Amino acid sequence: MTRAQPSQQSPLCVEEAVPSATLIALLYQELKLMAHSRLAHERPGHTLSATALVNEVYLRMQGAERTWSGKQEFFLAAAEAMRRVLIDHARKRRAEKRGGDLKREAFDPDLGVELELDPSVDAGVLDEYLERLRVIDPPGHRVVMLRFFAGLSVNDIADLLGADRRTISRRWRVARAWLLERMRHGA
Amino acid sequence: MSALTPASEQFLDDTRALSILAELIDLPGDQREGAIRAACGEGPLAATVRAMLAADESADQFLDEPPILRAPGLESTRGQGLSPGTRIAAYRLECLRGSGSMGDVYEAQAPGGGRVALKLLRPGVALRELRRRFEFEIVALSRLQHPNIAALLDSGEFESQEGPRPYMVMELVEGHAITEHARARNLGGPDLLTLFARVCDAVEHAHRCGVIHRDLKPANILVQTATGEPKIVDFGVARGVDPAATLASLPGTHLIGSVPYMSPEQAAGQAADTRSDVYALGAILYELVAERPAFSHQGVALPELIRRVREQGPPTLRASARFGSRARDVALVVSHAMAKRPEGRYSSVGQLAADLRAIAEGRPVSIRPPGLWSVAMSSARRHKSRVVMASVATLCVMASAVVAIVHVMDAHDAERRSDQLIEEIVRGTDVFVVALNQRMHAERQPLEARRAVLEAAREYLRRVETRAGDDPRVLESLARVYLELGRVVGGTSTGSLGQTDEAAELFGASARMYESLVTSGDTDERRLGLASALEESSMMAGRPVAPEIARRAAAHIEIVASRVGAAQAAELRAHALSLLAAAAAHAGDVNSLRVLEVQLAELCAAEPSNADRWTSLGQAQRFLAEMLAITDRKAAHTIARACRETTLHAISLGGPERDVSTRNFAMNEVVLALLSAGEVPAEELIRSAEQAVDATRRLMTSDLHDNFARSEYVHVLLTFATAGERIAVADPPAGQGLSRSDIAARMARKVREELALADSNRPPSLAPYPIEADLRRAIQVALARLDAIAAGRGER
Repeated sequence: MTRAQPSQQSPLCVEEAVPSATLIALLYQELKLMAHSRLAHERPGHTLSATALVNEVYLRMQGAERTWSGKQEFFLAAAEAMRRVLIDHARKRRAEKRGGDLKREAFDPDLGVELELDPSVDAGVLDEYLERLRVIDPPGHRVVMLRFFAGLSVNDIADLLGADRRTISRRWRVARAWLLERMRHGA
Repeated sequence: MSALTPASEQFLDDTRALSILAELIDLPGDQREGAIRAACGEGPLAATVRAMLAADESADQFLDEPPILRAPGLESTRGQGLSPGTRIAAYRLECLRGSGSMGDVYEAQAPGGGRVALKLLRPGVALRELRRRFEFEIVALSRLQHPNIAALLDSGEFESQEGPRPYMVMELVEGHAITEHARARNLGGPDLLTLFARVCDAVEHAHRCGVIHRDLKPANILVQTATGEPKIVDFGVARGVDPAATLASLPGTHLIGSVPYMSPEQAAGQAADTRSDVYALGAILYELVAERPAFSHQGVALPELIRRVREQGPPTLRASARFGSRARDVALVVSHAMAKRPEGRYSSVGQLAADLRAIAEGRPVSIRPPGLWSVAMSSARRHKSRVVMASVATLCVMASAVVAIVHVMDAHDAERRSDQLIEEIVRGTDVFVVALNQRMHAERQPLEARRAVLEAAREYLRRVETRAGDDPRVLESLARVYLELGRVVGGTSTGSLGQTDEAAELFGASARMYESLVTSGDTDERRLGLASALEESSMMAGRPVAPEIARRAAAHIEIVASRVGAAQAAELRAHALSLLAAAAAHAGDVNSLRVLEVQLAELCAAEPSNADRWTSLGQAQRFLAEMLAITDRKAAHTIARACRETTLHAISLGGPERDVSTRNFAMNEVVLALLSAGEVPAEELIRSAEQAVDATRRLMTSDLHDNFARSEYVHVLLTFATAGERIAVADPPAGQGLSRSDIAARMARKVREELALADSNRPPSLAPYPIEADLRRAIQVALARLDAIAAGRGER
């Protein structure tokens, strides 16, 4: 299946499901709860990847009453919710570290766990450029969201969006190159 | 025609670069250079593409690993900190005190044995930018000497394994954030105000030395435990007051600072000035007085938080009993410092400090309750935008506040029309109008709740009217309430109840009152009020625009614009132009519309980041394209293409009008499909038009109570049905295997499905806009023609 290049793509070309705000809000709560229940009572330093977390929420919610139209909508919403968890966390952490009572840990009392990202990436800056990517390259944005925040592999994303693997892989590299370039050098 | 602005060029460049990159990225390394030259020659675009290819090659693990969650308790294993004992120049590190966005702060021992704070820049992705900021902080701090600013003691560069890292040595402040300090000491009344006035002194000192802080927040204002002195500790994002002395615009920094204390202009990505610091101080004072932040970021996504900062006022500040009889003045000072528009604030931090000391020392403050000017301006801007989401609970609180005001008035009944009574009425109305604005325009507010508040408003009006007499202040208050009430009952704003007949009376009454007020005393506030009342009358929700009344409104706005400063004048003129454009479009006046489009484009070029203006330009261009589509297809095509660029730019700017622009974009895409009939394969045209319809439906269903969105959606359906006929009968038929009757049948089916959807999700309590019926009749006509073509009867 061939898909249009970004330049020929109308910005309205959103054939994929658009996750509802309610679903995103629900998953936001769910991800936080699940993170808490999986980690709060573990030995210190025990880790869990976002991928595992999102998949676990998916499996758990499949049995429950379905509030989404398909797997696609679920993962798009989960990626968005995960992004919010991360950004909220990064913001809180920054506020805390700059505060009078400076703490070393990246502990979030609300989340009950620590959350970390490649230390060279500023979550706020990343978020800002992701918003711009959403406007200029919606398909690329979607791939980055699914890959990074929902932790899906290129193959998973290809299956989910009904595109071929090479297309998704290209989208990923192009969007990531743009993000990295802009984050390094601005503009 | 609109010239491309730097921002929209950037947008296009990025889009082009992305699509070229997509073609090149799978090529072997040695073929890329040739392909770049072939695709973009030798220019900035080629450079951008090369930079992105380089980024791809060095991307390494960037974003490859999803975030990791870790059980609490163990120190982060990143190991970025330097171990105790490390020497940096003459300083010996003792422990890591914290990490900011730019670097780590260590506690260190100075050669003389004293303890200092040492801030070391951390290597990272945006190293170059951080370095410039870090160096600017050093320069800025070296200019400042104030007891309430943590002093810069030394600075230099440290040779680390990762290369040279600049550091700065500062006075060590042992203490807590000002908010925590105030809470722990239960600080209130005069003590709190004089403490905060000292913080203001420090910021005023920085301003006098040419430094704007830009990121004031409680965490940056520590109160020294030993001395009780407040100290500002972080100038990491400061800039010079004098534009010539500032850094070149920092990339990606327009959202810098912490959003809850960020001024609306910073949140909008515009430049900060000294008044932005006034706002931040106001927001911190709000938190100190209310014991909760003005804008909470708990559970709110960043874009939503930014939207709130830009568009909403904080919850009404109820100063606690700690401030006694001055509680109202404290609230007034905070709201004056936190005015949405910089012109509405204290013009210097010194004035804010003076008012705080005045309250603490029992003297009167320098300001009066908010003037109508600011309200008129902000409501003129707000009338199309979507505001606030309030809970039913706050609505109930508001309703009871109204009842309380009415009681106050009853108590004063004996001294009818005494000055005090009038003062109460005017003050009550101010509170009331602001509340009405904020609460009633709420998008997702249940209709029942809105109606309940409306009832309270009517009750209030009845009481005031019987006591009003002819005092001009009361008249002015009433004119405002009529105007605001009309907007809620049946104005063009989101959340309007769509009761147009009642609204028409309210707007008419408001306009008559303002007219007599302008005759007896011509102030900007009154004229703008009159203009707003006329404007609302001219474009009553869901009715055709009355061009004559719109022109009168624009004329009044122009009179005010000729009397105010350049920035406000441009704002007012842009508004008047968009009003005139809507009027010209409805009057079918193509020539005027062409002139207006050019004028709007000029105003847009003057302020490339003003989303409201670009939204207005996009609408004017779409009106023009629709009108020209019948008479001059070629010109229409050019305009519609310009409209596409304009609306994309407006959308990329974000802001409250984003949905309006997105709908406008969709409508324009359908017009473009119509104009391209016969030139582009029908399949492609239909697909793009269908997507546009889907997009407008999605925008509508995000708020079922938004009548404006609903009527625009029906408008899109009409354009779609009309385009269907044009595409079907295009000569030569450009369908790929699609016959005329196939095209007509497919498009008619789509329209019918959409109409059924629109009906099925309409809330039963919502009165439809009158214009929707007209549009639906026109759609039925277009459908009949499509059916005829589908049946093989309609071909030429």
